[in-house]
Amino acid sequence: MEPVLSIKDLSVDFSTPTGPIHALRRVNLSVPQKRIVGIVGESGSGKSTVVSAVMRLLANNANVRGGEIYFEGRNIFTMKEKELRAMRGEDIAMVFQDPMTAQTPVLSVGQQMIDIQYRRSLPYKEKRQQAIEMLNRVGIPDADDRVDQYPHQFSGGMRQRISIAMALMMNPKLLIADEPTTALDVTLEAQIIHLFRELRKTFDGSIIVVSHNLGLIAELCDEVVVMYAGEVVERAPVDDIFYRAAHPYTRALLNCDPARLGELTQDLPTIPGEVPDLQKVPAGCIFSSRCAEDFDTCACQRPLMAAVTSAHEARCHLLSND
Amino acid sequence: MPISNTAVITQSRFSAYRQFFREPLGVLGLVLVLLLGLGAILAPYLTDYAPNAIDIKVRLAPPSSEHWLGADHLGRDTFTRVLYGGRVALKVAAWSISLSLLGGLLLGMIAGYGPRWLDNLLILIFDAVRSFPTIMFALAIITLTGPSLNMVILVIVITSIPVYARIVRAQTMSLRESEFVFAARSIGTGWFRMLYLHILPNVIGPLLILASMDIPVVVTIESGLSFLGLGVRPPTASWGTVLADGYAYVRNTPWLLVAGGVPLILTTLGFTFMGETLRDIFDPTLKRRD
Repeated sequence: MEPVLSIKDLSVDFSTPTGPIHALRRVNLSVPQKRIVGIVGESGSGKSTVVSAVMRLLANNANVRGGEIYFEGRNIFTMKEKELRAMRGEDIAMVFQDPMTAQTPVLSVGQQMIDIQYRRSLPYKEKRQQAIEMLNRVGIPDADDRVDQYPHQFSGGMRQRISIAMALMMNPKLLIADEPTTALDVTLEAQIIHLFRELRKTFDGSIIVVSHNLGLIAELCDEVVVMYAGEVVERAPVDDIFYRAAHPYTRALLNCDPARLGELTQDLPTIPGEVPDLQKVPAGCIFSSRCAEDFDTCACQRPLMAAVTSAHEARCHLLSND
Repeated sequence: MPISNTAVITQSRFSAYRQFFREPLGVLGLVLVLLLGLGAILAPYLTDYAPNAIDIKVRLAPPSSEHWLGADHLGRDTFTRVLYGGRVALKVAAWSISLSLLGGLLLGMIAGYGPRWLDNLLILIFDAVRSFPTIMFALAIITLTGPSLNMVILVIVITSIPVYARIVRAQTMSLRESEFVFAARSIGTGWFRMLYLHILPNVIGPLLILASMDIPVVVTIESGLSFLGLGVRPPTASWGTVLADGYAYVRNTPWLLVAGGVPLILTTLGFTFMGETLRDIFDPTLKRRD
């Protein structure tokens, strides 16, 4: 089946007073139908830039240097503003990181959810009913009454549920969850993960989950894309990432996850070194300066994506030299 | 004056009402404002005299049961003229405040949400207009066009639009970066819908409170210009003209000055008390700590 979303060789620069930052370089990614794809990576790896590019809502100083994004076979970079707006919300919807700021404070939750349906010609009462049903679906108790409350009258976890309800309101084909649990505490995080798993049974679109939380990714996703400093370094089914990671960065990232530490340690493991300066992108492998397994080729030649299995590939010289 | 955009949301409407009526100054302000409003609206029913009816027999008469606030040098009933003067004052206030609110909101949101060059241009114009002192600007314009109430309103509108617009612009710019606006863009909200549904309701609350505190300023400007003969045309009654008429006879008949001055003071106090109480309720961060 044709993937819902495919990103081909996407490169994005941010212009700054000191010169362009090459934030994304030749990113390839595809989201198959009815699948959950996770994008993992540390801060600044370009996860959110990818997501904004998909919505074509990049910041003003961003320039798309190359590449294409196809949504259901249509290139979104050649779409007109009107088509884009029709696509946003209707076909692609987003859940944001911070539920406390993602809703207009002066309109009730119901008003906002009714407003989201503005492209539908339904009577007001039915739109309201739809909103209540959706709130029920994401587990808001007493949705009949609470639909008229304002966002500040809900707790953080509730508000994230409402965000998800709002995103699902138009039954999109692709749901993008940009760090959906980062702003929540651990118990709420578990609830939201549970909610997403419940929704999988009824929601028939695809989902992109962006996170640096490996636990969330492991719980939810079918496939994982690992990003580092603006490049995709590894792509694999979720089990392969967690049990058979091929790229040294992925392995290092997994070792740093506090949840996976086997014993009590004084020092939490870290990856030594720093993320390279993306104004002057190094010629070789992007991770070579911090890699524990690097050798002479790494610093001067950019590795290609090498297949580990048919569904699993990584950008590492260790794999292509075998 | 700092304006908080989150303030309006922190309490439900119901508790805001209750809180308002717990503040004695706020209630006093509301009562004064209501008295003024009713006096102006019901003026023809509250008095038996016409505001411009001359009765030379009672020239400069002191307050009595017939003429509650006495009569002026032409024998016109001062109480009637004060009531009708309130009409002029409130008319000017209503028109100029609502027009400048409208203009300020419109231009401010355009400057804050629109392209950068337009913002720069508008800010330049705002600054240019603000650089004239209001009274000097009024004197210049009215000298050119001749005194009329519409000119007074126009002058006030032109000089207050930049004040409102700058506040709206700053609010709009900070809201533009907020996540819920990005979220709204992510569901395909267009600029018009964005402005009236997401930006406007977040801006308008604090702005209305500011406007209610600007009403006395406007009333004072109108009275001042009328006092100088640059506002309403005689014989139309305005608090300014009542004062001007009384001014010449201040040694014999001080009540004419009182009649013209007290309504001005009460208006200022009324709207200020009301505005300040509203501001304190809706913006708890500004509340004085006792």
